[in-house]
Amino acid sequence: MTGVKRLFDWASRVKRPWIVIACAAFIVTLAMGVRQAFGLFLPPMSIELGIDRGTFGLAIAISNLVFGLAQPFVGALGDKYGAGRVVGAGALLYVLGLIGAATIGSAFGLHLTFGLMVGLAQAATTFVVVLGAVGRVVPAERRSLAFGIVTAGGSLGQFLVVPFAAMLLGDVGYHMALIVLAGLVALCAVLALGVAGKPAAPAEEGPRQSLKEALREAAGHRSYWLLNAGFFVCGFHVAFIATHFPAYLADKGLGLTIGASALALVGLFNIFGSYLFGLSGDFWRKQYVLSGLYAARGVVIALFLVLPLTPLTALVFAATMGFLWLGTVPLTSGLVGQIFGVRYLSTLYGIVFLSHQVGSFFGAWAAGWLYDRTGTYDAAWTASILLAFFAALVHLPIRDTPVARLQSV
Amino acid sequence: MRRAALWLAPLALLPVAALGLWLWADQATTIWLTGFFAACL
Repeated sequence: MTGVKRLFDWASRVKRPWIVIACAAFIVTLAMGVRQAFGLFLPPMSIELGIDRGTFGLAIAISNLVFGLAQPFVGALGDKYGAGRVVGAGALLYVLGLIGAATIGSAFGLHLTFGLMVGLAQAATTFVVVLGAVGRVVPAERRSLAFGIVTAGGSLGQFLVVPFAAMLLGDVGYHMALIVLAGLVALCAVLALGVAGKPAAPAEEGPRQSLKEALREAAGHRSYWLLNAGFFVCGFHVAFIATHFPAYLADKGLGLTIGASALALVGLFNIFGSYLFGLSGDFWRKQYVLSGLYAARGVVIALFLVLPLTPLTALVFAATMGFLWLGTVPLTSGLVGQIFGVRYLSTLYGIVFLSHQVGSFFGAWAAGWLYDRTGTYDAAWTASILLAFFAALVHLPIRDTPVARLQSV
Repeated sequence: MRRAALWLAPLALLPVAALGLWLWADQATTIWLTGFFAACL
């Protein structure tokens, strides 16, 4: 262990901002991309393990739940011990989870590996932890752009790893495909060196603040709650559309090619949107950009419903929503860092991210529940529009000036 | 000039986008039939 500790200490001394950003982006690319391919494993694993779709879905649901609930805690670990150690441990757990999933023979094993282990590992290897490391090495005036680049990495993972995993499944079967994906995730442990280092307290952040004090400060700040409310809506939109849009298109009689193309366009435009919204946060007030982003979502969804559904409108909707997909991440995390500083950025953003995941739960579940009762997605679409304008409004009164503690230095 | 370059930087990803679209076109049927998006977030 001493050797590993020395390696991480060495890495923390030689790091440069661009190395941290590049490594963080690649870590998120692999960690997000691999997990987003899990749905592809449903048919072959269900057949081999003799389980139904609900049992497989429960593993994914457990993973989602653990992923959300663990965010504040892994964030706190990242703030205390450094992102490198947390990402390294998370990558190891991720690899064990994938190899375990390739070898298990029961539903319980699937829930343990795909569900618990991967859910926890993914929390340790994605946005909340790595953005904290990036935030500490990038100057405040370039932080939003840096966060945008890392977020675009996650989008790239969705776009590239999913079809790659599909190709692997077809060529080598699901056991070997999982082993190959485990090999990809193992690279995160190496890349963790790039984000290593126990967080130093930035000089501009004043006297040492305890975690408890940081939490109390955020809880007493109205803007922090408004950010939580806004990010809840983001989670609702993304999960609703991700889960139910393919079924919606199928219900309306649009064919396979259009559905698959729509999914690809969401992934592709998400890359560009993540970067450009991150960049825009360095030029304009982030809360106003966020407000505009949510309002744009509301307008786009409303137009999509009002206009006749054709292949063209479905593809334009997918591309536009893809562009607006994760642009919220660099702006929201950037605001947290701007208002409260970066010392506890991972912890505080982890809590906001938990709010996102709660929204995701309702977006995926409530839309299905409403569909089962009404036979249409109309109510869910209407809720999405109303929530979009609600989020646009709640961002307007956010005060982005740093808290008094930071101003006094 | 530098500012314009920042906004245009994503164009550098066009080869990656082409690779991704090729992969998607190749695997679209598999991806669509398994409804991967239901499990992705």
